[in-house]
Formats: sequence, structure tokens, C-alpha cells
Amino acid sequence: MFKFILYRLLQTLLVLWVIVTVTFFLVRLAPGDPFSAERSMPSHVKERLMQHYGLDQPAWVQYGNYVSSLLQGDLGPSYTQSRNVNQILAQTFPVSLELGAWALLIALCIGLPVGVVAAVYRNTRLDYVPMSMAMVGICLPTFVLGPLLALFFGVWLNWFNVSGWFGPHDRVLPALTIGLVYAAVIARITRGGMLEILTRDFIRTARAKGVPFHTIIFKHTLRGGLLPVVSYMGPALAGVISGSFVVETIFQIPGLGREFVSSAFNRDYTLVLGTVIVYAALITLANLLVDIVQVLLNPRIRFEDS
Amino acid sequence: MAQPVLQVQNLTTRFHTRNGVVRAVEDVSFDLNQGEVLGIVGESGCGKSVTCYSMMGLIPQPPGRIEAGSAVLDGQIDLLKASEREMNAIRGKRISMIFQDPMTSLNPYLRISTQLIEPLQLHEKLSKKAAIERGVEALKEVGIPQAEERIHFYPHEFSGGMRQRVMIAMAMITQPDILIADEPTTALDVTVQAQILELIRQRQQANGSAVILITHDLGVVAGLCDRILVMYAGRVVETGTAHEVFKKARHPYTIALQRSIPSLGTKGKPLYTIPGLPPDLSKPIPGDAFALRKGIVSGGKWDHTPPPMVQLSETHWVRESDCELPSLEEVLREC
Repeated sequence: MFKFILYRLLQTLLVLWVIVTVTFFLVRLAPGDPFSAERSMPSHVKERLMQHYGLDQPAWVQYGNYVSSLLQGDLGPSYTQSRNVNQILAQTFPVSLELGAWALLIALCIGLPVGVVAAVYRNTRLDYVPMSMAMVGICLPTFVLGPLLALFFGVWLNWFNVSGWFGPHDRVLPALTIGLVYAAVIARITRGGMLEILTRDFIRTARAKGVPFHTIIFKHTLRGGLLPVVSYMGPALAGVISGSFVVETIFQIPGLGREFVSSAFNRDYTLVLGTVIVYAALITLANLLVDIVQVLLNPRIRFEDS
Repeated sequence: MAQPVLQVQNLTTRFHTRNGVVRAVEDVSFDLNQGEVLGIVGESGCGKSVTCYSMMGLIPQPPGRIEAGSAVLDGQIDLLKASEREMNAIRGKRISMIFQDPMTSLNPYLRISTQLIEPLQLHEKLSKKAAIERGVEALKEVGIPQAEERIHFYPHEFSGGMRQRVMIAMAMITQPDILIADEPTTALDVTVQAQILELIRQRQQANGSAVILITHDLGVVAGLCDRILVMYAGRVVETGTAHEVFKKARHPYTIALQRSIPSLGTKGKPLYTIPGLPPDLSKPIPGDAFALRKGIVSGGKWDHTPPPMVQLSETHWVRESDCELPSLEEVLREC
């Protein structure tokens, strides 16, 4: 198992290198440069700036410089902000991570029980009502749900701030906005997975042994039934954290998502690369975690080396 | 004679589906005596399994519904009216089941040990350690080598025959009074089939359990059963001791089933098949169900009135029928 994890981590490094390389050249292909703004600056100033940051050199020299500083853990200066990329990531990533963690917690705490109940009481009101709501939840984009929640709980009920990221209560609305959408997806996947298992022959065997109903659900069904949810958690984890830039914009949260989008617009090459590296690492690690959990849940899957 | 362990009377189970009411089991009655092996035979879809699932409370409801009848255990508890709680105390303790496909009947996500000792933990409140010891013993009894290690394996690490052995061990571990084996050898290799049947017989004799053996293979029944119940289209058509059903069969369906057993003496000759298909159970059958079969000629006496059961001896009952079986040549010409 440790061999497998080590192997996967090495694979992750390779993937990261490919992503860094591709991104490095791709952002330079985009028209314009970090210093082309609406109001153009005097050409000699711009030349000095380009020279200062080494952007006047050939692309492969820039690439060599970037990779060598990257290997020393330096992600370079930001071209549009006074902070360097390391500082920006250090300040914004924990915010996004916290928001994502709350959102995932909400998604799982709502999605799993609702899905299990809907599967167990299939084709009754306990199934139809939550599943219809889940369908609505899946169809509702966060940029609709977020403002709606802000309007209800922020403006009308005045329970929470409409935007900002200061106290613990500021976490509620943005986390709900992301969490509810994922809860809807998780509920539907859970229901499907549970139904699949509940109709299997071995559930009948368990019933024939006199196993009580709740034991059948928790002991005999849940493990297999939750496998599809676990596979979904990899993309979900990545999506929750990287896809939160809409929500971060709506609620004015100083998170990584906002930096990601604005850096791309500003052609802030190093900041784009920095955020891409963080996201890529996060996604590959999330998938590794999912693979490990899957092996733990399903004895028929083995690690590649064993 | 002592009281039967199980008395089934007028059991009727129907499935209410979108395409109409499927009369899966109609008015089935039989007794099961202590320690005897009762074979229930018939083609696929004639209600053998549904009969047993009804008694065990394993019919999905809806769409299934037990419309009438009783299945009395020990002359005391009616299984068809028992609560889920009462049934859970009976299932796996008093009555156990083995299923057709050992590949899908064991939970692939749980270790053999977990599944095997579950009846002991549920019904005998044994500690895990004591239950594992009994489990190892049970695996040894069904002929699984290195039981101490293999009890901790997962089902996919066993072959089909081995899994069926595990199923038998699991069913017999609480020494139940009744074992219901639902086509236990159908999904297995021919070479393994005989071993599994022998194992069932051996465990049955060791425990003194009664066995209900559901099968469509008369050859299986012949060597193993004390009494036989032949079912057709959800009804019993003939019942008697193994000797009576084999040597003195009266119902044309029983005779046809017997003729369909390939025997060793007829090498090179074509095999007998029963022409046509069993009737569609979602439509009411007014008279003799066998007469409705394509290729079967009836005298017409029971076309519109249900034929009654006639007693031939103390144990031998047969449903009246004036159907005639076509000869082998006629069957072949039809094909």
C-alpha cells in the first residue's frame, strides 16, 4: 500500500511538471502582457518593467529561471500586486480551503442521509419530495442560489452579513450556497448506489438469516452503496474549492478563486501559475485519497503493486 | 405420526403488476415432517420459489401480496401473519435458506467470517470469539480446507462450489429445524453439483433438519428426497413419496418431466421435450392449466372447471387431468 502511495505521489509530481510547463507557455500565448492596461503606460517605463522582471528574455530562458526558482519554493513576484505569489497563496488558500471544507461538510451531512432515506423508502413521499428538491438543487446555479440566500437571510431576515469574511457567522451563507448544490448531487448518487445494492441477492440472504432491518442498511448495504459517492468525492472536492470563485465574488470573500480569475484576466503570469499549481496538486491529492478510500471499502479492488 | 414441523395450507400469492395480476402461487398445501426431505419440482416460473419465499416473508410487498393461506410452524406460529420482529427471530434460527447463485448470494463487501457468524451473534448472542470458533468448525464440516485462515477471506477469493459450501455452513450453523434449498446446484458445475447435494444430505442427517429442496431437475430429487411435490402453473399437480411419484406417476405433467430426464441408455436417440410453454400466469386459468399448453391434447372435461385433487394412497395425491402427452415422434415433428 505504501509503495502504491509513493508511486502515485511520484506520478503527481510528473503531472504537476507537465501542467506547469503547459500553463507557462499557454499564458504567454495569450495576447497582451501583464502591463498592458486600458491606459497604456509610456513605452520606456514598460521596457524597464519588462527588463526588471526578466520578461524581455526568450521564453525558454524565462522558463528555466521560473522552474529553478520554483524548485527552491519561490513562486515569483506578482506583476499586478505588491505581494509576491507565495504571500498571496498563503493568505487566500486557507480561506478557500475553509470555505470548501464547510461546504463539503454541509453537502455530506445533508446529501448522505437524504439519499439513504430516499432509497430505503423508495417510491414513497420520503423519496419523491427530497429527490424533486434535489433535482431543483442540481439545476440551480450558485450565482442564483447565492444572491437568493443573501436576500432572504441577509437583507430580509437580517441574520447574517450579506458579504464579507470576518466572523464565524460569515461562513454560513457562502458555505450553504456551495454545499446545498453538492448536497443535491450527493443525495441522488447516494440514492442510486443504495438502490443498486438493496436489490442484490445478498440482501435477500441477509434477510433470510434474520438480520434486522437497520443492520441490513448499515452493515450490508452502506459499504457498497456509498462507493459511487466516494468516487464522486474526488471531482467534488476539487470542484468545491476551485469552483468557488463565483461564490467568493458574490460574498466578497478574499479566497483563491478570485485571485485565479483576476490573475488570468490581468495576465499575471506567475500568479496564474501559482494558483494552477495549487489546484492541480489539490485535485491529484483528492483523487489519490479517493482511490485509497475505495480500496478500503471494496475488497475486490487491490492496489496495483499487490 | 408426530406433528409436522411445517403445515402449509391454501397458500396463495399474487403479484399485482402493471400488466395485471400474476397468480404465482394458487392454493398450495403441503406438510413437512421432521427430518424429511421434500422436493418441490417443476419448470421455471411455476411457483416453487415463490411458495418458499412467501413462507419466509421474503416476497417484496408490493407488488407481491399473500392473498390467503397459512404456514404454521410447530403447530403454533403462522409465518404468514407473524410480525417482522417474530420473523427475524425465526429466519436464520428455525428456518434457513440456501440460494441458487452462490456468486451473488454472499455480500462481496464483507468477510466470510462476518457473514458466517452473523446468525450466531443474532440468534444465540455468542461473543465474536466464540462465534468465530463455531464458524471455523462449520467450515470444516462442509469440507473447506484451512478453515482457520480462509474464514477471514472475502467471497471473491472462493470458487463457486466453495461459496455454496459457505452458504450451506451459514444456513446450518444454528442447526435449524428446516432448511430451504432453492435450486442449490443450478448455477454450479456438474462435477460440483453431486458434492453439494451429498453435503446437504450429510448436514441434514447430522442435524436432523427437515429440507425443502426446490429444483427443476428430477434427477436431483430422485436420489435425495423422501417426498415430492410437483407444481405446475402455481398449483400442486401431484404429490407423494419419491417411490410413488417416480414409479406410479399419474399426472401427465409428472410423466412428461420424467421422460425429459436424459438417461444413459438412449445414446444417439433424440431427447424428449415437453412441447409448448407454461401458461401466462397473468391471465386467469379456468380449468386444467396443463391442457392450455400448445401441443397437449385434452379430453375437454376440465377445460372450464378446475380439476380436483384425487387421493390414490395414504400419501399419493394427484390432480385430475385428461390430457394426453404426444409421442416423441410428434414432438420432434413440431420442432
